[in-house]
Amino acid sequence: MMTPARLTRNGLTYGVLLLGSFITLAPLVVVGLTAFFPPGTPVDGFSVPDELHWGTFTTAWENGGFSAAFRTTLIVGAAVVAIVTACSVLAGFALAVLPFRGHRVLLYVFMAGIVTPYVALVIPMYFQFQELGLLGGYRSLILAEAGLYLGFGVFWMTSFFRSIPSTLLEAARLDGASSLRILWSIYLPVSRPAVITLMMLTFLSSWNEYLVPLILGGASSTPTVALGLASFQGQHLTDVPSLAAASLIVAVPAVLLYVLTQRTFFRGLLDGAVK
Amino acid sequence: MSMVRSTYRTEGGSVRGAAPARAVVRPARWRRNLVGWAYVAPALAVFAIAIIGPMVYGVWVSFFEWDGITAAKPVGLDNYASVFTDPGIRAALGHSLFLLVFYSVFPISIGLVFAAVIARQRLWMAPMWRTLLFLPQVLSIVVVGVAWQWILAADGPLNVALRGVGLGGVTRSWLGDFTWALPSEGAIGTWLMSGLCMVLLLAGAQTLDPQLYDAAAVDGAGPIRQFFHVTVPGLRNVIVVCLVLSAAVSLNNFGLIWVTTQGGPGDSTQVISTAIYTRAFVRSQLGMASALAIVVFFVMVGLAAVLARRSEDA
Repeated sequence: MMTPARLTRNGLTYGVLLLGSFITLAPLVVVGLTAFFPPGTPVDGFSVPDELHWGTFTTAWENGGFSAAFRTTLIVGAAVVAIVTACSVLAGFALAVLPFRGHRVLLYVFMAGIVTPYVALVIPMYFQFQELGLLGGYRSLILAEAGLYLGFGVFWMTSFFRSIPSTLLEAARLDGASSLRILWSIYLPVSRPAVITLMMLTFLSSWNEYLVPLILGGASSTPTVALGLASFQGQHLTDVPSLAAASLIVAVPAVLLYVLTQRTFFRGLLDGAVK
Repeated sequence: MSMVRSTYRTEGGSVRGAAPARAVVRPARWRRNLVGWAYVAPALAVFAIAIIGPMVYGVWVSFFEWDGITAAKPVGLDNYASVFTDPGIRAALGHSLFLLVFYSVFPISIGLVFAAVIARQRLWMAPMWRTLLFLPQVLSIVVVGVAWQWILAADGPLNVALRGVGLGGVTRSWLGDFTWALPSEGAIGTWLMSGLCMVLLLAGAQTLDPQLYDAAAVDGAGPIRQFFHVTVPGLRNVIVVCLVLSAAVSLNNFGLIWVTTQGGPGDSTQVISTAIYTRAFVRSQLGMASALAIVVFFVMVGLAAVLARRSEDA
């Protein structure tokens, strides 16, 4: 039996949860629904389509050049995830576990990459890459994004490795295990959620990245999905159904990846952020 | 020479030989340093090419007046002088600080109240609520911008809803209005960051010791006093995490502003990030843009160093 006090408390709890979820979802649902109108239909307010018109998606996919954009974004994203994860795990391990001369200064150097607004970093990149002939193509995007996300990655792995009890390390040292072996067979297995969360965050950042391809992409190269959506918006300012369909095309893969991995993702995230 | 060698040998000998006082065999110090740097080397290499090299080049560019095409003219520190005197940049700084309230203060306050209401109960379908509330974080800023631009448009859903409840008088093109464009950008920021703060603060609140609340209740503290004397102090670290994350998003809100208003109408939504971009790629003042970028870089690194030192002391 629920006591009245308990009932009020439950009502309050789920009321707050429903309100929060409603405010989060309502704007997305309202926009998402318009994607099922035929392209160019004038819509206003909360329009619910009579029938689901999937054709808007195929039109938006073709007009927005999303096949090429998906390929570019996937290649760039995979490369960036590989570089950032490998570099962050190695550097984080040394910074957290192997005390060496200069480790504190190095950590500050990497942290400087987190706190600076990306624009302040990407504009000098533009000049430098232009000078070196690196502009356009995958190379510049991969290098720039790896550099931008690496600060967070190193910081993330360092603070996670620091939270692992050092008794494990001392025991392994006594057995004469090399540092690489200690990393591989002791530190990595217990860090799985943290590493997977880092990979997820890095891939999502790369998938959603707008500033880097806008500035470094150059006119000749294929845009990424976010940049593709932005230029699609420029060409279809008043065509709400097409805009909504293109937005969904960009959003759905990221949301799917997130929903499918949410268990591990939140375990890693909350371990890292709430200690 | 021989002295150096013998010192080294004794040191090595004492480590490798019978040194019962030390439980763990440690390699010589120079070797340890070398191994440490070897682990950091790949990350440092990427960082050097992508971040440090360009920053150094950016410092060089900042001493010139340059449009990116014609020959650059050296102007000494003039660009830096204009960074501090340019009224446009000062206004952008003010707008960024104004938005910080919407990106950080509001979401954290909302998250705290939310966490306080829910904290001490077992939630039905907890993962589902969490996944829902965090959703805005996984959307591209371009998607968020496109969606909200239509929601806030003259005939968009918000105005239709306002007319529906008899508030037709306040409807307007929210992002096209000199007074309302900036607060509207702020409202999008609050929407964007609240879920993140709720999820983190709720997770933090669930680790708080229930006995603290019981003790407070015994002392006669009602829900409000419990909130300010138990929940908020207990969540101090999580609040700092939320603050840092949301401040970072707020400084990086270039994409959102650029997709929705491009800094307009007029300059009413120009923020630091759009001001740098505009100077570089719209007005072709590359030296000026570099100087601004470098000033922002050093201000942020300085602030972060102060914060890091303070949190180490605490």
